[in-house]
Amino acid sequence: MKRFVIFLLIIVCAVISFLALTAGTGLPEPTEPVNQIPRIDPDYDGVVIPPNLAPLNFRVLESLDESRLQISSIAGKSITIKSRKGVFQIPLKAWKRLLRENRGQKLTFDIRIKKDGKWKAFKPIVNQITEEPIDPYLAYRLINPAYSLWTEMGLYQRNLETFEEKPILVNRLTDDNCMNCHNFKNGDPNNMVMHLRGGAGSGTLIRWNGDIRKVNTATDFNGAGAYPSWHPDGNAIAFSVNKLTMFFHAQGESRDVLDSRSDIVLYQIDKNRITTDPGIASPDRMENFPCWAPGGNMLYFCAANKLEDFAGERDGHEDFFWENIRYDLMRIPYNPETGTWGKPEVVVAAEQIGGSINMPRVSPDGSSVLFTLSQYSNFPIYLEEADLYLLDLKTGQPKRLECNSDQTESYHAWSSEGRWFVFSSKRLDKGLCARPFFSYLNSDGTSSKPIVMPQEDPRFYATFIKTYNVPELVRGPIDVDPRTWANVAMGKEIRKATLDPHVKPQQQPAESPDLYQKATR
Amino acid sequence: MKKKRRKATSVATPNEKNAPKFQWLSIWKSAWIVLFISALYVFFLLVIRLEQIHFAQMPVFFAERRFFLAQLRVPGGFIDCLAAFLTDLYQIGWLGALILTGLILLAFLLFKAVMRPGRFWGIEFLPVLLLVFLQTRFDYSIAKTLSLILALEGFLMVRDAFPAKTRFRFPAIIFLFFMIYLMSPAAMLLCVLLCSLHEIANPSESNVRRILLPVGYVFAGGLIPRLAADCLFLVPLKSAYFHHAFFLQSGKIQIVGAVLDGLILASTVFFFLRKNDQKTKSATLNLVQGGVGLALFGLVLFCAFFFGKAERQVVRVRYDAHEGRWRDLAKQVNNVTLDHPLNLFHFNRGLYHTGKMASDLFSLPQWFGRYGLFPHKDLAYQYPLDISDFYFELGHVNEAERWASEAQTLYGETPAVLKRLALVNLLQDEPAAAMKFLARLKQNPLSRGWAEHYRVCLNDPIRMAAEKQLVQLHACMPPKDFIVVAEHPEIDLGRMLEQSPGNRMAFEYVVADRLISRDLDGFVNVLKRYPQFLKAPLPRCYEEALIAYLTLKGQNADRAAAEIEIRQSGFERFKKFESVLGKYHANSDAAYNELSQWYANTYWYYMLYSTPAS
Repeated sequence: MKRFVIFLLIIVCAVISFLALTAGTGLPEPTEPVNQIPRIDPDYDGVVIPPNLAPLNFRVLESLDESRLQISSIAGKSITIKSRKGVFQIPLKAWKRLLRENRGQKLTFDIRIKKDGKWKAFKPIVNQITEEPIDPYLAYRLINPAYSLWTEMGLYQRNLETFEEKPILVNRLTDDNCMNCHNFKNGDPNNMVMHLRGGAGSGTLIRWNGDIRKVNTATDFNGAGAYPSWHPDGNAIAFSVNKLTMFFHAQGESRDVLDSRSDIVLYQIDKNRITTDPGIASPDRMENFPCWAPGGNMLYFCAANKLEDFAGERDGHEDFFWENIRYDLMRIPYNPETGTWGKPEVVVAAEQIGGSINMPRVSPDGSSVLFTLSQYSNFPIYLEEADLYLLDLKTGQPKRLECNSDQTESYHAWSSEGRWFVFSSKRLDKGLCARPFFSYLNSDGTSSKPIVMPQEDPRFYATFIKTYNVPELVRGPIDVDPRTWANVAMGKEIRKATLDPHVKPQQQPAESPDLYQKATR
Repeated sequence: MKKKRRKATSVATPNEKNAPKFQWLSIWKSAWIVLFISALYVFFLLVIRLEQIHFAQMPVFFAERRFFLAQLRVPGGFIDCLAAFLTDLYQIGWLGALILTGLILLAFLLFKAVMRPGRFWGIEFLPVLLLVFLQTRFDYSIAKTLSLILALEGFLMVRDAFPAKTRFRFPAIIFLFFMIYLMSPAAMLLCVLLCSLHEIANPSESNVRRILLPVGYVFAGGLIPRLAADCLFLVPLKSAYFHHAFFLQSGKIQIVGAVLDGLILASTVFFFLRKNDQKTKSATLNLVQGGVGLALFGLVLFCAFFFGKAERQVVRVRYDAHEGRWRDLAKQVNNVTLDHPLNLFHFNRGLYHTGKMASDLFSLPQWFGRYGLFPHKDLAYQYPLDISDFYFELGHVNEAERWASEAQTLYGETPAVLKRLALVNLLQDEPAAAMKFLARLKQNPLSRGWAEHYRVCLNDPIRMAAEKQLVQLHACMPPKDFIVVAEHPEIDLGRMLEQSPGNRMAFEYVVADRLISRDLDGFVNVLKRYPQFLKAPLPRCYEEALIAYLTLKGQNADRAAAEIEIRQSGFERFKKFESVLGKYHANSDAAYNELSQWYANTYWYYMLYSTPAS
């Protein structure tokens, strides 16, 4: 007993000493002011922060022997942290309290470092907390920077209010097949769709009002659906069906993708039926990236002339002038009650904007469309110059957003409150891996300096070589066990979609897109 | 440990009862063991060469928290992690041999502790011999040996360290099974089987317990993986039960593995269940039995050497090529190695690097035609790092990056791949991306120095300029973009040569491609276009091809080609070749034997007889 008490005392003393050493006791008095802000990684200087985001842990890149950080705002207790290595991991509870009590206020990061026995005080970093929170979950796929092969991959959900990351489904459970094209009905985790390809698990998994089903969306008209957009009434999903091929460059970014044929189809969940219309599936055009407007009576999409129109002679050989393939932004009216389509119209012509428009996403209030503009094609993630643009639907004027960088900005999604959006950017390692960034859209249509999704270990991105693919903001956790998804995927029951009798069949490959192939390990 | 076991055990093991009555017999035994272990060490060091196993298995190990946590997310992750670390040390050949020999010795001692002593001392270590055989294979992970050791150690703990007939024995053993399961599922299954057999064969237990306990063990052993797969880990059921089992390789049942797995278990069970044999052995018998054991050991080493020799040679060729040991590579050219297109691809690379491609290309039978220069895409997807090596040397860095990325997908973040990606990004002037790979490499204990070296270079242009290989490769890179023609790399090489006319490797490969394709017009065009690579005397292959061209074209031969200087001896050899053919009235079938005796390494012979796959 006596031994036990002594042991307990030692433990208590050790814990107290540790806390005393690491806990902040206020900032040291500076002996030397530095008229600049310190270099920090990730770059969280001058950013806008949602009030529900996890702590912005970071590291100071200055040479130092010791460092202190004080985070403060108008209300609430400030947070002080000590670090010998300049790595600051902010306590979650204190951070959340500080943000909660200071919505709409400024948040100051005061950093002091000790070098050669002298303390230096840098100019404080001032950030802004917004009133509007961001949707608390982010769903994405994690993969190696992909070329032709795949092995391990998985869909994950990250709680943006903490650092918790959980798998939605990993392909270990589904015979190592490919999975992607996940999408939600207005960020609702109870209505989710994802596409699995290769092996027994092939099919489209749809969680519809809590029930999960596997559907084969291929019909005599179309191959399996790829890029989805859920109709706001929840009963239908618009899919693009694509035929993609990868090709490679000898200089610059190696990868590039050519879509040789694409259409848009509508899968009616309740009827298990595929339907379409010449307005969205014309043989003379390649339609892609469907996106419903919030009311559900207008479908936005992108379209380019059919591939054959770009054929010609190059260096004495028949070739496609792939660099000339540019997509217009289009829209088509739709009547959900009668299931009838109107006449498609060009919203922004590629020629007018001088590039190829991809991935239109209508804002939750229906006032604007966020899209990616690249020089050509429909696969901007491999194009360095791809940037985000915002189209004001009232004025019809598109503008390049301030949150862009000199690297790829691509896949993007709105938060349900309509101010925050997430997008993929390759700026951190100059084109290697896509990372999710968040930006805030001000009332004047300008976007804030984006913040990379915070990680518990601020050095995380420096060595993490997987890429975040198709980030989608979700309003809550996806509470389905990965094994449940896997059981449905690997189960024998699959609903084969029927084709609307009004749609004329055409020859299509059974599987699409066939961009990557499974590696044999 | 042994003393503790002796105290705790309910029944003294026969081993201990048998304690050394004849000291000199123990010396004989020890001598056999020392001989066995020494021979094994030398065999691993000099014959198997564990650095090549390291290359074939491409272990992924990082000394950092995220890596460890990721490993622990699957049952068996602990052993996988340890195995990756130990396999990484195989890079240092002597250390790798020491590690593997040590593990085999440990397994041997554990087997010995598990088995009851008997007359057949010589074949007592049959399971260990089978283990040796397995570990000499390039595709068997050391994790399986670690798993076996864990299972045996687990069993010994149950047998010796858990107090018998106490209330907590059963739950404590089930807990132990669970802990073993977390480290290795297959180890737990084996441990469950051994413990069950032990209980059945335990005379000190009541009959009821001799039935109930094994049933309980087997039930728990069946239930734990099921529960783990349903509640704890995201793994398929097959992995949840059989991860690390010898009979499973990449998720598929392998007959050889299954047979060996069965033999290991069966021999263990046989020795385990046999009756105690307390009889004293004579020195002669002991010697004979030891000799039998050693003979078996020799047989296993012999089998290990000859079984899978072809696969081992492919690995050896790949390893030497990857390491740039071109002279070692050249020593491996033989009828067996030439049968594999990947080997021929590397031998051709070796010819280039030793400056012999232009003279000795047809000294190798170019059976696979173009695929001996540029592997078919199916082969390329199997060995992407080899393809990346090739394009890297050519200065075709985008393709080198592409294939290294495919290798990353296939093998994971293994240092060899990360190093290639770091260098490619350095060449592409992408310091941020290069730094990411270097930062990752710094987390691998054996790559830290390499990564630090290039990190310093990255920040110091003077040191970077001193990196001769990178500077040379940079000069060979195509300055302008073009679309890669994946099915016909020779077209890309032609374009690279147009853009970087100093790229000798591209030149020699383009010429080799024209020759192998029997495109003599194309060959002459390339020679004419890049005269800077032609220095007198003309290399033998070029000379022979040029003579063939001039002979076939006659008056229509390209004038510039006719002006290229050819040695008189070349013409004379061709005349002799023609005269042999003439002797058989130009019947090539009839002339085959004589021509193959004297001219098999000439381009003329290749033109006459070879019908390559492409």
